[in-house]
Amino acid sequence: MRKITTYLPSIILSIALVFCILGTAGVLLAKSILTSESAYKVYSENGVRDIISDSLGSYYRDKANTTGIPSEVYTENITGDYIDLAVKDCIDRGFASVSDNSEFQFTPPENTALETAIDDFFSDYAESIGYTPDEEYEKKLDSAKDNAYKVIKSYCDIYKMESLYEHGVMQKISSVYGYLGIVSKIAVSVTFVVLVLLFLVNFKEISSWFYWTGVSCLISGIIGAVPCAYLLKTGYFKSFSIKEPQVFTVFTSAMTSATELFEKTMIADCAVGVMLIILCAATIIAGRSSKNKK
Amino acid sequence: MSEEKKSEKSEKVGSRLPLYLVTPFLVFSLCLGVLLVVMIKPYDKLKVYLNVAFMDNLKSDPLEDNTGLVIKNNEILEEYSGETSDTGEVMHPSFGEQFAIISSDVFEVDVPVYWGSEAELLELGACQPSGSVVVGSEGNAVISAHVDTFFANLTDLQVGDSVQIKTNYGKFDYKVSELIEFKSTSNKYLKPTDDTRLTLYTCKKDVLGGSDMRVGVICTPEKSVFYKTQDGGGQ
Repeated sequence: MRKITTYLPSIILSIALVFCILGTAGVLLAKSILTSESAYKVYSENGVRDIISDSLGSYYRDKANTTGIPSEVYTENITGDYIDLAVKDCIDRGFASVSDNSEFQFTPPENTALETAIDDFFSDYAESIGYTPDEEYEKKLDSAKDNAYKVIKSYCDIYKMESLYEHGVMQKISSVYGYLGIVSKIAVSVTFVVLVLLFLVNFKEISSWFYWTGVSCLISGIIGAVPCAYLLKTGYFKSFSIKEPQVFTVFTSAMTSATELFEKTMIADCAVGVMLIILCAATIIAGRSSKNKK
Repeated sequence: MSEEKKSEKSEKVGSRLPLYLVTPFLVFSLCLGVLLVVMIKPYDKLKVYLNVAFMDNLKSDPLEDNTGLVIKNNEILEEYSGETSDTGEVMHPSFGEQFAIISSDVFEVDVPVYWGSEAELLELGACQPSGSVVVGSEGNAVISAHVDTFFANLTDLQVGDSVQIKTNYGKFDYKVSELIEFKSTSNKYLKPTDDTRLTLYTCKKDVLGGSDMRVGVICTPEKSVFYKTQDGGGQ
């Protein structure tokens, strides 16, 4: 702080450190949340299984009026465990597609109980009205089964992966997803290098190093935490356009928890910054008092 | 250290204090400046996607009770003894509001008609999609209901049969003029028309599963009576 030759480089390095801290926090956050495990955790922790089950129930109750097939044929056989399995499979396939840039293909797991229930309903109904099964009957039966799997697929693809893949979003994510590990290592290393440079510039006065690092931490914390607080306070994520209950729940929950995590990290960053500035002040005061004693 | 040097040192530190205080604001301003310059282009691109993904007028949670469809059941006037006229104004219902009752000799019950077309409304009665004209207006008033509930007897209607619609603004008599059948994907009979008509339709009953066909009737107006007041004739 004494000379312009240390002040100017310190300012530049401090600004660089602010962006390094923000970047590192962002990359590490992305790395921790963009995994199939955390995607499934969002699903399991927010009661999405019950939401899917309820939505399927109301869908089939409504469809019963036009198809004539009672909703119980479906709802009794699309169990919670089956929904878990289908959602997990869909998420795993989605992340596999993103990591190796391969085609996204998801077909719900085979549900023999459901197929048997549809078979039974059709045969019982045909028998009750004296209808002899023919080609048309088989067609209708196959179509009912196909439709059942299509509906399960659309309800269990909670992250809209098929749609993201069709619109080329997954391919774009895929092009950067593979580098996330390396990028996070580079970000941490660059932050460390900037810290070392800041130390070298302020080598003669350790309190200045505390000061500049503290200022960077405090400012990066404010820059990171304020937008997060705004997003959370205004309920911004509630305006998410897709209102299908299961999709809305997972997307908004994932975004909210990621924002909360980032906000907490940034508040901690602010706290570290304040502590370092206090440490700087304490070092200066201690230095002055020891010199005064001499 | 002499007293002079001591005071010189403390003066130096004291003189640096404003710099210590101003520097964070300076760094903060510079960071914001850099951020603005760097983010201006990506934000411009991102804004389009953000505006599509997050629409401010959709700030609601689909799982909250206070959102979604508001169903309003109204008492529809059965008898009106007040002044009437052949022409008049229709009352535009709100989405989810019951605004009429259809009756006919072939229907086992009088069918309540709701404005809008939602699965939840179809459970309660017949529905008139908000895209068609309100009953009593010029154009095509389209009403549909489920085949296994309110329109179970719709296919029993024959050309020449009478259909009556009662609302709180008037009473409208129709005669069946045509029996229709069309694919669920076709809007041939559902689109706006120059003439005034009432189109009633439902799903075609199939032996098994859902049907891609729709069946119904087209009715032409016979007599329209508009009420001058909406209080049942001022009794």
